[in-house]
Amino acid sequence: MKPEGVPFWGVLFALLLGAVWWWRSYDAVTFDEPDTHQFHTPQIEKGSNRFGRRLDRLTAADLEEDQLVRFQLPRTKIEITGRIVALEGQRVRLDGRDLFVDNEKVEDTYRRNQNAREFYPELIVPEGCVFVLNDERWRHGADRFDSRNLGPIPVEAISHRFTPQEARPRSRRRR
Amino acid sequence: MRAGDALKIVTRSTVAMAYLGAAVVVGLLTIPLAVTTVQAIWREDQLNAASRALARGGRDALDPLLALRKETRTATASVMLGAFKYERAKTPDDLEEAERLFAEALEAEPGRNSAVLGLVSARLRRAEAGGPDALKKAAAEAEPVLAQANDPEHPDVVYLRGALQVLLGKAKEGEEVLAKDPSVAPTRAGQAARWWNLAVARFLVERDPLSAAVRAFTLRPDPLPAEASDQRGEEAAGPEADPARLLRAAYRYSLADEGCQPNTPEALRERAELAWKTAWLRFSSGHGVRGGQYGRYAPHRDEAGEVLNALGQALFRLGDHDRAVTAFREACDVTREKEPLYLLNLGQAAALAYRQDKEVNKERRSDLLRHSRYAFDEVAKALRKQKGRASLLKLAVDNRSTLFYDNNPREGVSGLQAYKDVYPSESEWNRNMGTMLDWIKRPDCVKYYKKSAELGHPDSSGIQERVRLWEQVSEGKGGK
Repeated sequence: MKPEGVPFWGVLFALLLGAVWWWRSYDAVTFDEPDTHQFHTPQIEKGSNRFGRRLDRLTAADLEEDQLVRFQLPRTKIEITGRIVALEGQRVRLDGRDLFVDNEKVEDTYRRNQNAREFYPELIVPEGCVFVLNDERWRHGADRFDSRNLGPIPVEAISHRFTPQEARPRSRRRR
Repeated sequence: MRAGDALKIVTRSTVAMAYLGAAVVVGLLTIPLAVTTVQAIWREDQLNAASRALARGGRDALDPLLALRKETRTATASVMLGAFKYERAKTPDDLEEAERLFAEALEAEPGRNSAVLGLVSARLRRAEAGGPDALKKAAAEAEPVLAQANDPEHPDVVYLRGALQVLLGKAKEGEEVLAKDPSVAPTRAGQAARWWNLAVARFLVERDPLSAAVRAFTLRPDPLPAEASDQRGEEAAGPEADPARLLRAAYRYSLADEGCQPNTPEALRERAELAWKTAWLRFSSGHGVRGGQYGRYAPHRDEAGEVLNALGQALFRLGDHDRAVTAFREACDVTREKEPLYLLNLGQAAALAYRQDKEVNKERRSDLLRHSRYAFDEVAKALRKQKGRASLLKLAVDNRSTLFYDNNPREGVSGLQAYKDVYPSESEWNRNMGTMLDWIKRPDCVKYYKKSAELGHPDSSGIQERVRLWEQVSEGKGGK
């Protein structure tokens, strides 16, 4: 192909459009909340940075299990992180160390420090909501900052989402 | 070249005129399209911002909601602003304002589900202040409004219909409607209202409300501030305190009231198992005002004793004495002031578990004995300075001495001696003392037996018989 045959302006325009889309869709998020509000080690640690997808134009259908989400605590300005374990319309319950979604036991690979006496009654995740849990389930204060205490989280309260790949620690990503 | 000259040249050429005409037509079509698209994007952004602010529940949601309503004048904007006003309403005027906004939305878009639900809810809540009759009247008036809903099979509409039936006195029919699982997910508020109303309906039809009340509690509107303060549910004002009140009543009714249906051992066991899982769950310790306290599914630490006592009673009725002891002991420990009822329950359950439960091992048996002695001692200590509690005091001291009758009578004797001055009946005390000493074959029991008979104990003939036998024995010894 001749050099003049390369659609230079077309490629540049496409790149520009892509950059604008990326700039409008992603934010650099710093997890600056104190350790008392952060229960996702080793994936997330205090002060770490990740690029997170903004949820301004996304809906509940764009969220999936195992994704990490940043959401605002009701009636506060505090943002915290949780991992989605069940989506709108699914039945979720916690019994001891086991998590059940739609009456099936889920292999909860991210779970840490589960309490054998944990319990959450079976509920249908409401319309426009997701059910989130912290990875370190029984670290001090963890239960106060996820759906066990807050109930299902409205999608509108979520500001950013991170796929498990996006949320991986950098040291692992390099490998 | 001037612009006028250029125009003259262009107007002379037919092709140029065609291009110009086409450009004007394209411009006329695309410019309004572009303007509309930009406007739509801007409105969507505004709607997104408003709905996010509403979901986050902060006060700062008011400005974007007001702006959205001012700019768009749509039913959506009115419903969202109405929902904001409804959730934050403190006075009947606030509710009236919310009602007006929902009515406005309904006028703009007749039959809109969210507007119908909001309007009915606001009217019912406003009627609450007028008492049961006003509420019943409002429920009757709300039925035709609810019938206007576009999607009458949406779970939120169905559950509100069930709630109206409960308010109209048809609790059984309401309970049936509310108990049915939905085919699609209701909203969060709809689901919370469903469990709340189901628990209330089950109270009214005397069925177990506990599982519904626990679910209503998990979906309470504003969980975090309540747990961040140490305010007791009963003392807190407003609807935030209601789920805690309902949960507390449900624990007591489902576990400790024999009128709760179904009253079969299997159903009671199911309720007790649920309460066993929920009543123990504390907030994880270390953070927050209520850190480490009972509270995930319990109203307040001051009420935890009551809940655990009810749980102990259910387990006791099921014959599970060992777990009943655990529940009663915790009920005693979490109660700030010693509660004689919980202590007596603990003592009694521990004594029964000690005597009857064959499965408990040696260490646990010694624990049970310790629990029982602790409980009866604490009751006696607590009641010895109180007037008018003589029968309870007597019960505690008698139970304490009976506890040691067959394993450590000396402990039983020392216990009786310790409470001699407060024991309500002297003849009874002497009889009991004589019996304990008799059991360990101490001849000084005769002295107490005689004293008891002198004081006119109702069992004097039996006492005289024991005295006669002891005197025969001592005479025999003297003869030798």
